[in-house]
Amino acid sequence: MARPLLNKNLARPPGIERKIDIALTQDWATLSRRARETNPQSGDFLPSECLVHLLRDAIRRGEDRIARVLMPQLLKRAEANLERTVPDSRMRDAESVRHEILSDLAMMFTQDGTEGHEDELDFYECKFLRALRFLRIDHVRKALSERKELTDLPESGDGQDEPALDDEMLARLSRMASIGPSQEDALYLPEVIKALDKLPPDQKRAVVLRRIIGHTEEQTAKICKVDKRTIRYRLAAADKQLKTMKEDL
Amino acid sequence: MIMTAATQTSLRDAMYAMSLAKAVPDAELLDEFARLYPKYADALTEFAIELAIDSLMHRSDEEDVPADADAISDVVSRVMSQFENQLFERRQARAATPPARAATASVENPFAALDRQEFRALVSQLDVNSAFLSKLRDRTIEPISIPKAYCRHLAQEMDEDADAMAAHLYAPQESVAAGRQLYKAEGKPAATARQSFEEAVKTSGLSEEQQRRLLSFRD
Repeated sequence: MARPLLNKNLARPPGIERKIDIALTQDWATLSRRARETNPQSGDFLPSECLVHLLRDAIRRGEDRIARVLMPQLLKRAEANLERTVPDSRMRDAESVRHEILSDLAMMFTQDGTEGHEDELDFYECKFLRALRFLRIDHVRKALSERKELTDLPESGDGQDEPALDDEMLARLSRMASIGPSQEDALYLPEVIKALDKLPPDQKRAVVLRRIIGHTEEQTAKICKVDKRTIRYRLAAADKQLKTMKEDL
Repeated sequence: MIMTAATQTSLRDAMYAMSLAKAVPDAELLDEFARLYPKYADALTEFAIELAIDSLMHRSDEEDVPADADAISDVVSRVMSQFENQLFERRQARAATPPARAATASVENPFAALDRQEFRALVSQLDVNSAFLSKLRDRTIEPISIPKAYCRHLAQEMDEDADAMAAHLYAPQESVAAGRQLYKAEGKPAATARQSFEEAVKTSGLSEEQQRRLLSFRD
């Protein structure tokens, strides 16, 4: 029987719960072999959520031998994810950021159950990749902010009355957010998204809130604490920059 | 993901919860979180923006697995070394500190409220014997070996929440001594090695039929 989660707002997916229950009955040698299985289609493959549970359980019970076998496998999976999502091309010193994220993840296990860390790993037992996503975004955001790599592009000063120049492209972004990219979109939209990420903060907020998250113009204005006209202006300015970038592709 | 308790939740937990809730945040989700955590509405909006862009950049919700299960990179090797050191320090700190009752005080023992008569009535109700029920009460059974189905059955018979029952079975043994019917001896009870569920069933003096029924609980 899997140990209940401390965070009562969370629940493990039933499939994960079942796999944990089975793994808990297995001996050290079997777990060691299963942890090294790298094919997710194999019946022996242990999802990362299970590895997190088994690691927490082993550490709580003082079974450090099991922890030493499972931890490298979990870290290697997290590292593979980070190499894809925080590649060297994304920022200076990406390797050091990946190291910090992995280090934070590993330390969560040694601090598990202590004050301020009572149930943080519960999130990782429910949806490992999405919990890791929070940790990654948090670290990358801090690193970029510390290293001042987020250099604002100059605001466009005369775009107030310009229409939204490329609604079609941004509509594709919105569609991609909800259903995934088409083959054609998949070719060049990643570049558009990178450009979107580099827009000045005000424009980025307006575009994401309005066109990707799907707020109305009025809601977007309210969240940004400006009037609707300013939102229209920011969207137009962003469209102009994105259109220029698209033409360069 | 059901978010019900807005109070006492840190911004970090709210961000984790938002990250888990949907692959790409939408207006409805952002509104819900702003309502649940008004204090953090601005920070959560900023986070949702990062999350939306990140989701578009890296859409895969599938595990990234290393090609070679045996190769360990320098980074993982360094982190493992940190992990080993921290784990060692944790063990040392634990060994140096007397067991803190406060640490387990929040886990309630559902048997603690039963007096001797009620305990005996429960023995009959469950069709077990006192020795076996005492093992469940005193947490001397390895919790991972207890079938979930039996935990649920026990919780149901005692009119308890299944999660609370599981939390009791998982709690350390030292917090048990609060029950009214528990100990006659003058000496303080010491934590004993835990048996597996099967071992506990077979070594409690239960009848063949009782043993067969208990061991038929499987997940």
